[in-house]
Amino acid sequence: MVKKIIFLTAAVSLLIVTSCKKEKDDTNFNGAPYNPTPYSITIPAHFPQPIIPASNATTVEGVKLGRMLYYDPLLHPTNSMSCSSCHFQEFGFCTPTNEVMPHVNLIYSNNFLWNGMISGTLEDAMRFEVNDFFQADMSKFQNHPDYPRLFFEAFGSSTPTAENAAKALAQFFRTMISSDSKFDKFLRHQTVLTMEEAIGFNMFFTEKADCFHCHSIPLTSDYQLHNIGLDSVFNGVNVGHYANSGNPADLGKFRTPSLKNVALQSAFMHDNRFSTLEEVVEFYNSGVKHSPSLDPIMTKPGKENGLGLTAYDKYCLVQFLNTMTDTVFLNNPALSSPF
Amino acid sequence: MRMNTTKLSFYLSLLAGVVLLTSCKRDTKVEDDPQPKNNNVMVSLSFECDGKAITKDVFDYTNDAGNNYSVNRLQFYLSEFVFKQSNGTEVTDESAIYVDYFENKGMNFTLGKIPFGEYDEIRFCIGLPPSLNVTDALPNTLDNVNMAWPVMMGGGYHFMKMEGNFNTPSSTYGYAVHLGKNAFLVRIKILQHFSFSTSNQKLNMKMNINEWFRNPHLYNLDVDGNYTMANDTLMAKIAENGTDVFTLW
Repeated sequence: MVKKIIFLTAAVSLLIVTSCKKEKDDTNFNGAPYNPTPYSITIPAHFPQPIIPASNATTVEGVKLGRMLYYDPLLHPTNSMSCSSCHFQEFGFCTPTNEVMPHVNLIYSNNFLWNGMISGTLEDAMRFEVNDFFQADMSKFQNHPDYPRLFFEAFGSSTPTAENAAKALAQFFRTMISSDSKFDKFLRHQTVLTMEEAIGFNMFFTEKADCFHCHSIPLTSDYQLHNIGLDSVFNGVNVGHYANSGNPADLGKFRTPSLKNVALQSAFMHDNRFSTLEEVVEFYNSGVKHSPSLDPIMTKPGKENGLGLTAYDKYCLVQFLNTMTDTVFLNNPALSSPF
Repeated sequence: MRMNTTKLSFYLSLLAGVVLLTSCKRDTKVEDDPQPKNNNVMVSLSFECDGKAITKDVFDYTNDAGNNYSVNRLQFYLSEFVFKQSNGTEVTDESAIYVDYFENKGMNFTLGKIPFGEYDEIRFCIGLPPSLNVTDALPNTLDNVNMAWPVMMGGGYHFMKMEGNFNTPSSTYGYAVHLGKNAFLVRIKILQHFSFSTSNQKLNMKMNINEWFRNPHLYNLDVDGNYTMANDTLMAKIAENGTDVFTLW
C-alpha cells in the first residue's frame, strides 16, 4: 500500500508539473532554452505610435533572424537573390534606377506594393514575399548549420517555417525607421532650413503645392491609395489598384510612397516615367491628367491649368525634398548586412 | 490516530485536484472595477443619404442642387458632448472621438458617467474645441497625424474630410469637403426626448450626408466649389449646413 501511495504521489506531482506548462514549446536546443529577449523599438518623439500585432511581439532574436533572411539569398529557389538585391541600404533600401519601393517606415503601413496588392499587416506582406514572391523552399533552412538554431531562438521551434520567416522579416522591417533627415531635425527644432528649403516646405504644406494631404507630416506618406493623375487612359501596370479590386474607381490608384531619401533616386513613380525630381514637380505643376478616378484632392477649382508654380517655386520645392535624405538611416549598422 | 491508507489516498487525490484546479490560474489579476459601469452610454453611428445606405464609390446620391455624387472618404471628429436632463441638469463628456466610416473606426463608442434618467437635449460638435484644435494636442496616432491641419495654415486638425466624385453634364470631377479652423466648428443641438436606464444605455445617431449640402445654404459642388479647404466662404456654408446632419433614432 505504501508503494501505492508513493506512486500516486508521484503521479500527482507529475500532473501538477506538466499541467502548468506554457503553450509555447520551451524545449531546449542543444542545451539552450527558448528565452527570447523583448526588443524595444525606438519610436522618435515626433512619430506616431505604431500598432504592433500581439501575435508577433518584437524580440532581439526575431529581429536578428529577420535581418539575416533579408540579406540571405537562401530565400530564393536558386539562391540567386535576396531582398537586399533590389533594396540597397545606401539608397534608402530601394534601387535608385527603377520602381522598387523603398523599405522605410513600413511599421506604419497597411498597404503594400505600389498598387496596394497586399493590405493588412507587415506579416501579411511578408507572407506574400516568402511564399509568393520568393517561393522559398524552407527545407534549405532546415538543413542549414545555423538557421534551425536561429529559428528556435526566435520562435521556440527549430523547424524553419515560412510563417516564422515572414514573422521574423516583419520584425526586422519594423526596425527600419528613418527619422534623422534634416527635415526630421527641423521638425524637432534641432536645425533650421535654408531660405529656399523653407519656401519649399511652406509650399509643400499649404494649398500652394498641396503635397501634404498625401505626404503628411512627419512620415511623408499617408500609406493610402491615390490616383494622382499620371494617366487618363489606363493600360497594363498603370491600372493600379484596379488590378486587385476590379473597381473602376481604383483605376490609376497607387500607394503614396514615403519621400525619405527621395533625392537619391533617379526613377520615379510606379513605372519609372520620371528621372529627376524636377520632372516630378513639373508633373504636379502642369501635367496632371483628368479621369473619373482622379483623387479629389487633385481637382481644385482655379488650378485646372496646374499649380502655377514659378521656376523659383519649383526650385525651392526640390531643395526642400533634398532635406529628406537621412544619412543616419543609410549608414545604420543595425540595418546593414550581417554577412 | 493513524489514518488508514485508503483514506490517505483519497485525501491525496482530493488535494491534487484542488492544486490542479488552482495552480494554473493566470498571473495577471483582473481588478474589480470600483466604478460600476451602469451609467456608460454606448453611442452607435450610422450613415445615410436621404434614406439610402452609404456605399463607397457608388454614384447613388443626389443632393438638392442636383449633383449626382459618390463618397470615398468620410472622416471626422466628434467632441464636447453635453446631455441635458429633463430637470435642467447638464452632464458633459469631453471625449474626442475619431470616426472613419469606410475604415469602420469610431462607429461605436462609449461616453462615461451619464446618469440614468430622462433627457430632452443633446449637444456636441463635429470637430474639435479650440483647446484641442492645436497641433499635436491629440494623441500621436497615425489617424490623428493624417488629420493634421498644417501649422502654416493655422495648425490643429481637419474637423472633417468628406471626399468623392460628382457628375456634371460633361464629365466626372472630384470634390473634397474639408472643414477646419475654430470658426467652422459645427455645433449640433438635438432637442429630442430620450432616457437611459439599466435596460437602455444606448444612443443611436444617424448622419444624413445630404444635409451638408442644404439648409440654410443650397450647396452646388459644381457652382459653389468642389474644394473647401483654405476657402473660408465655402467652409462657412458647409459648417452652417452641418448643424442638422445628425438625428437620433
